[in-house]
Amino acid sequence: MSKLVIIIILTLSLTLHFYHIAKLTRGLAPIEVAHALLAHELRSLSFGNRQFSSSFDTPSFAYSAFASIMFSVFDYGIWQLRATSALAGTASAISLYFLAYKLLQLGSHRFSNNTPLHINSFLATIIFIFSPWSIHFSRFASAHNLGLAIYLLGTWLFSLLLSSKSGNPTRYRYLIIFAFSLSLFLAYSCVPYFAAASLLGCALILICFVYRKIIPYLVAIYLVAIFYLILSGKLAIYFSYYSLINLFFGLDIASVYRVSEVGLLLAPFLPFLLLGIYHIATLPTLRAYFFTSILVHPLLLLLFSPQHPNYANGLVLLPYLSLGIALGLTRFTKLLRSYRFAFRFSNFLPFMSGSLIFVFAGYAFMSFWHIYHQHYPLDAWPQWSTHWTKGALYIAQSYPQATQVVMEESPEVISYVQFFDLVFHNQVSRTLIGLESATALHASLPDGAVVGISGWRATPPNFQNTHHISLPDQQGTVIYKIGLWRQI
Amino acid sequence: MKKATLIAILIIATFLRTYNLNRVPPGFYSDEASWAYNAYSIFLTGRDEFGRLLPWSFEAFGDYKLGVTVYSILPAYAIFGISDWSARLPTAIYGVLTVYGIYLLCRELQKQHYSAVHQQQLPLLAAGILALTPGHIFMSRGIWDVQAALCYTVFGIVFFLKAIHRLSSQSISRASLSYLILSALSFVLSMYSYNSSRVLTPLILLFLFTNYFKFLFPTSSRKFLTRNLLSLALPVSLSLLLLLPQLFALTTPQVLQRARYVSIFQHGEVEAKLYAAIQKDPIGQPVLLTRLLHNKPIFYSAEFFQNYLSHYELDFLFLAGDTFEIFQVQGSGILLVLFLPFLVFGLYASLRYHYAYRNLAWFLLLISPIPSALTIFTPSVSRAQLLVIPLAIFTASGALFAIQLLSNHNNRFIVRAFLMVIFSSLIFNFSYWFKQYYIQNPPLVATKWNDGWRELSAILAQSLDQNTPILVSNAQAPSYIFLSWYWRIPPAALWQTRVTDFQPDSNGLNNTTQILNHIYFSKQIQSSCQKLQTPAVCVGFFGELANGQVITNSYSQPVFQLSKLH
Repeated sequence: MSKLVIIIILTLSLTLHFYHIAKLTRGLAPIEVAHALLAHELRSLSFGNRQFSSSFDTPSFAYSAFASIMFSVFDYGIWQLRATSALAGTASAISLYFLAYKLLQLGSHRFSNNTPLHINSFLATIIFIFSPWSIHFSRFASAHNLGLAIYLLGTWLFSLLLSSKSGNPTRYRYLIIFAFSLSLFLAYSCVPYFAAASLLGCALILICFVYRKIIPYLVAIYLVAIFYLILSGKLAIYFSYYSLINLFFGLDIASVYRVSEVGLLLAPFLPFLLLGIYHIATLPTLRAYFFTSILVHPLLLLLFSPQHPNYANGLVLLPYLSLGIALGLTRFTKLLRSYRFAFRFSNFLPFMSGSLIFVFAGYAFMSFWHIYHQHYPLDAWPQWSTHWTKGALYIAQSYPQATQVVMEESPEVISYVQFFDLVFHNQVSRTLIGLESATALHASLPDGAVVGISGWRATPPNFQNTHHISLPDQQGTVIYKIGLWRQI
Repeated sequence: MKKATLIAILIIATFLRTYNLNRVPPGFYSDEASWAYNAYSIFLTGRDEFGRLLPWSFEAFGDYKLGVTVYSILPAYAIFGISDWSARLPTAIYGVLTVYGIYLLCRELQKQHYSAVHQQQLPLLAAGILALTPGHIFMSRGIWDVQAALCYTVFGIVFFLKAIHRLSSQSISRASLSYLILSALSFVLSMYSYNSSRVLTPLILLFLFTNYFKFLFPTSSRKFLTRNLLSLALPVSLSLLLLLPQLFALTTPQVLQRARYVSIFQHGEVEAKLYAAIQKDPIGQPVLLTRLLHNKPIFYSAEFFQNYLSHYELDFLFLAGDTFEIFQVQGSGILLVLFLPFLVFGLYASLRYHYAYRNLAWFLLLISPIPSALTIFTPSVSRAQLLVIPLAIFTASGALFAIQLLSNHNNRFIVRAFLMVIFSSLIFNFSYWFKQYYIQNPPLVATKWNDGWRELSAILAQSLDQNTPILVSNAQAPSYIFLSWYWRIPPAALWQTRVTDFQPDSNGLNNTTQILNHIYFSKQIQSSCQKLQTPAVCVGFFGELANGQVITNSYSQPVFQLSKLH
């Protein structure tokens, strides 16, 4: 049974994460390019001898390290760059399955319980796999997803350790302690502060639950933090994490870190999350406190998240919300069973309800998939720098001999050119030259050694053979152009 | 002790709702002026501004305001004279009565027959919290029909519960029947007070009937069943009889005119989103797929749910408040920020324990935003005003739950210190809000509240002879109502001289273009002024006219420009 479950999780997760990963989303986010260049640096240069510095984003060391392994095995490329994130998403799903099982076991075996653990944890994992954010974050080179995977893995390892404490000895206790410590370090490296803090917070809750009640202290911390937020004027931003609209419907915000009008989770699951919270509240006292603490602890930690509002940090909410929804679905099933007996129906009511939930969830997922693939690339192309990606791709392919690139626009574009040089020529040799310097030096610059890149509105002097790159929308109209010029 | 505390709460509630009532909020909003003038017209002649005899629904700007608020103002005019203050007073009184109503409501709920967990101090604390609830205070300080509706709804439930608690073992007693009739009358009045109540009251009645079914029909004995049904028939038929005018009027297109404008189904915003989504689909995509993914039922449902959920956003509840500027107080939502932890405790505790108030409070919490979710401009404090009742109950219950948890603590010093911190924070939090609302906010929203019309009316009345044509801008609000109110134009003169275009404008409102034979109103003041025969006077909002005498409001902010054409 367990093997079959793992196979299902792996198949679904890998399919959703790797399907057309290099083409969708179109373009590369600046952070992805930064990760690629740091990965190249780690792979080809000695440690500490940095060649590239990113002025526009801070690449994660851990993510780049994993990406450099992918580059070593599969060579440079977009899917190789994003594969770490896709695998991290899959690892998160697997970790969540085991973690949810362990949490349910920890929260129930000390008391009378008849919760179907396997079903609950499998449901939580499926909800997690099909959640829009999980899919989105697994399809681009962002360290947040890796942080989430490490965080879930670390929490699971810690829960294993606790299981061994409470009468089920584990032979690999010391190995687990080492792995847990490593996960803390890696989580910190991935997403500084937050993933590690969440991991530590969850570990503390687990410890406190096994040894002592902690609710009053959690509440006290919460109140103090609220006071801090009131005084610092950050309360409004923090409240956005609690927004049900944000979580289930999304906002009309174009960003690398969020798909416009798509929530963290599929909208039909909202009633089941509420039912899940109700289910937790009605459990016996200690179990209720335990699950409540587990469910809300990321929210508590988000209070201290230094960057507000940080939807990427809010990713940590996802596994626990999935668990809450799974509990709600279980409660709903129980409710249906009781009605079935009350009305002496056969299996009609549960079957109909199950089918309806499936249809609604399926429809919501189909709608998300459509928006993600058809609408999102059109809405968020500036954030995904689709124009820079296309321009840099063109330079790398058409002007391999040019050693200098003149920028009229943002200097970040040079990183894109360098990345595609890696992909096509396996080396980085070009340097950046500012437009003003290029104009002043233009007589002394060797012919054919300089290419230029500019926004479509202005054409700098001293360049010719303008090549326009258009970014067509679905209707075929031009919405952006990039001019490329060679020096005369 | 209980009585003294209740009286103290009511005194505080009265003070907060009546202090400086004619200055805070500043000015007089156009709807307020309309209610005040219609009440004035009824008070003098028994007819509304269009000359209709004692209507239950007032046409006003074409938005057909329900009548209870207008008729409630009449006693205040009779006792205190006709003024802005006396026009606002009844709403404030409704606010205070609602505070008392929530006390009664919680007390009645604690008298449930079945074994439920009781919190003895809940009625007083809930009343205290409602008395200090910003969203309830500022909706009690203008002439807003929602306050009357809220008050009658609360008392409708209270009377219903009183009737339930006075039922004899098997049949409906005379006392309970009287309360049932009172309850029915209260609900009918709420439906004659505010449009949202037409949606909410039937839902509340359905809930009360199903939740207390076993009390109304405790036995299956045919004799008692028939007797109880007959007893219930009286209040039900009385309600239906009183509601007949509304039922008939619902079929008339005029009454639905305003509803059409504010409804999400007619406003066009959803259709625009739908069209934009279809535009983004790739060419060549099967039409069936486009229709499956982008269709009206899905888009309207999504809009409804998002509007609905927006009323539970913490930002709306604690920090930002309404989307309309006139209902906003800087940095404040409809509840004090300090209520947040107690609200969370209250919600959580009510899920864990079977408190007596649980079913009703959760039901009210869930249904309150429904009417508002069907309209544009959400979240709305006014359309979802019923929300303050369950929120106050949950907050009070949460506070009691927290105190109970603390009282289990062994260290008395920590408990007292904690209570002291909470109490002083509450005082600080409320004082801050008080300062914001009563001192900081008025100058910021003065122009939105149409402050300045009083000054303009006085200037026009003093400096002009009766026959000089005056052209007044209609760009921001139906201006005729301000002049009618501040000049106290005799209703008969208005009936005879007004010229109104009943074709609804883009806001779904009619447009009065002339009163008193020489006062004209125009939305394009600049161009209309040029067409006037001299001598004449043009009055535009500040910035509308090229030059002219600037008229300021009570905060010395420029509001109008007055230009005399010779």
